[in-house]
Amino acid sequence: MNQTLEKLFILLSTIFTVISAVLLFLVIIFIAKESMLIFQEVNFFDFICGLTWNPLAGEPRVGILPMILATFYVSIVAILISLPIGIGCALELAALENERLKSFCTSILGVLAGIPSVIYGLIGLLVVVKFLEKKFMLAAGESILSGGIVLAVMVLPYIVSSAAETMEKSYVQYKETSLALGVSKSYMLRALILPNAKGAILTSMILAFSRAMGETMAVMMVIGNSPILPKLLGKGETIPALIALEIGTAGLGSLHYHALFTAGFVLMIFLIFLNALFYTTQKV
Amino acid sequence: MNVTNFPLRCWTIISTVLSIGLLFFLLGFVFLKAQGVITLNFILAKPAGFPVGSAGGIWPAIAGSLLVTLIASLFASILAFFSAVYMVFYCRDARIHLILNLIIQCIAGIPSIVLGLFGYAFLVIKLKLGLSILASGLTLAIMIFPFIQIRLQKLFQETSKQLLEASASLGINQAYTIFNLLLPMYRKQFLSIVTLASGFAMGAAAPVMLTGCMMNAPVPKSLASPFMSLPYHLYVLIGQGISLENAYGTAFVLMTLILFLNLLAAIPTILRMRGKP
Repeated sequence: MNQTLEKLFILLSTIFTVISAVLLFLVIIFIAKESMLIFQEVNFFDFICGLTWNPLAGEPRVGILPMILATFYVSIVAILISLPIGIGCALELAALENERLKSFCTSILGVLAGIPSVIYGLIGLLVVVKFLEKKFMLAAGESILSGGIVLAVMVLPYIVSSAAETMEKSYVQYKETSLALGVSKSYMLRALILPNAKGAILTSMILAFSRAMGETMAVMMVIGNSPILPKLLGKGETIPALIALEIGTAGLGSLHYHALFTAGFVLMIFLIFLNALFYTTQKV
Repeated sequence: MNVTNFPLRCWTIISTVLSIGLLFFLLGFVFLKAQGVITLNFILAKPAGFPVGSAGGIWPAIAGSLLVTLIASLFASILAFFSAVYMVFYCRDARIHLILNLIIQCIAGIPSIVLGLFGYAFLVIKLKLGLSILASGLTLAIMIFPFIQIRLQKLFQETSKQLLEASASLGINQAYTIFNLLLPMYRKQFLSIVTLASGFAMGAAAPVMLTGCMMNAPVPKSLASPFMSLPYHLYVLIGQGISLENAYGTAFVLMTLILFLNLLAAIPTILRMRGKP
């Protein structure tokens, strides 16, 4: 009786594992397969380096370089804004002795990570975009900069939690020695914890970067969405936004449809690469 | 505090206050602006007016969001539970273990919009599920599967070896050990992981807008019907400039649901903290 139950359980868990693995593998294969079709009609380099996106014209042009650049641009702006704040916060949290206060701060950051991206987009549109319009006298505040600011807020919790984890370990490790040597907490943070955390900072940067690149809704709502080469205070369009805005109107099996899949595939490859980088830096 | 340390402390304290303050700013902003919009009628009525959404309420969106989240967490948690059990207790081949881990990590890194693309092309068109709540639920399930699986696997791996060896030496089989020892031990954590993941599923707009979410649809009657969801409704209200007031109201409801889920997920941690000074 017990043995059959055990066998049944093994069978069940094996079947479900196979289903999940096949399903997940299918995602990668399917996106790859759908996107390869476009290269029968368009040269690979024309697609990646083309400057014009006009898949519906009489002579369709599908170049996604502006989108690729815009995706990187907003992500870099986001990291530049978010990193100093995130690392500062992580240092403070790592050295916080009060357990209750620390767990309060950690849970606040958890909630911040869980807030839906449309809400960030809404607030970005009403606060950040309006602010930029007033500050820089722009006709439209929707720009790469506003996308970067909104994304900076969104990736902040990831930077803090990833960096604080490692910093906390080294803080605990050196605490007793530092106390015994009569070194102050601030000096310890500056001279010991911070230089020691270089790897952790890099890891958190990569994590945040991959989060930022894949973000759709919040960026789409504040960036203006026009497929031109991005400037800091000008409009741009990221790859996720391009897909979200155009897939509904693209005819099934058309060049437009396959071009959007290929754009998704390019994004996926970037992110899988970043992910691999994340795990190798984490292990070192 | 000496002179060189002062700037550092300023920096760390200001960043911390800024990070923590952000959440309160966001909550305050949405809650203040939504005052006066939230009425019983707004929550329980269908969207109305022209264009749709400029008047009336958001009940179908609330129901749709809750249902699609339920479908997603159900599928994802069953698959994640069994594959975590398989990988920790039954998988003897190191290569299979590595490959499975690799695939799951890959999917964890794929952005939600690409998963939406997969849902649209594969589930909606190839499998002929149509634009439906089932297709959206499955897409969201794929999205939150790695989140749940990775955490469960970590949880199971931390189970003390001693416990498992003791039960094995008593001649108790793995299935019995898992159901009578592991599950009662980790029930709360398991539920809290799934709750947290369902919060992510509920807030995601990109995957559902490609796989079955509509601007105006009744409360779904079957798995094959299209539905409304709160994040997408909010996006359209804002994106097409239909109604700012109703957008604030929708944001308020969505935020409240997410906060509620977060609170539920935090209960085990809070209970554990209570014992400590």
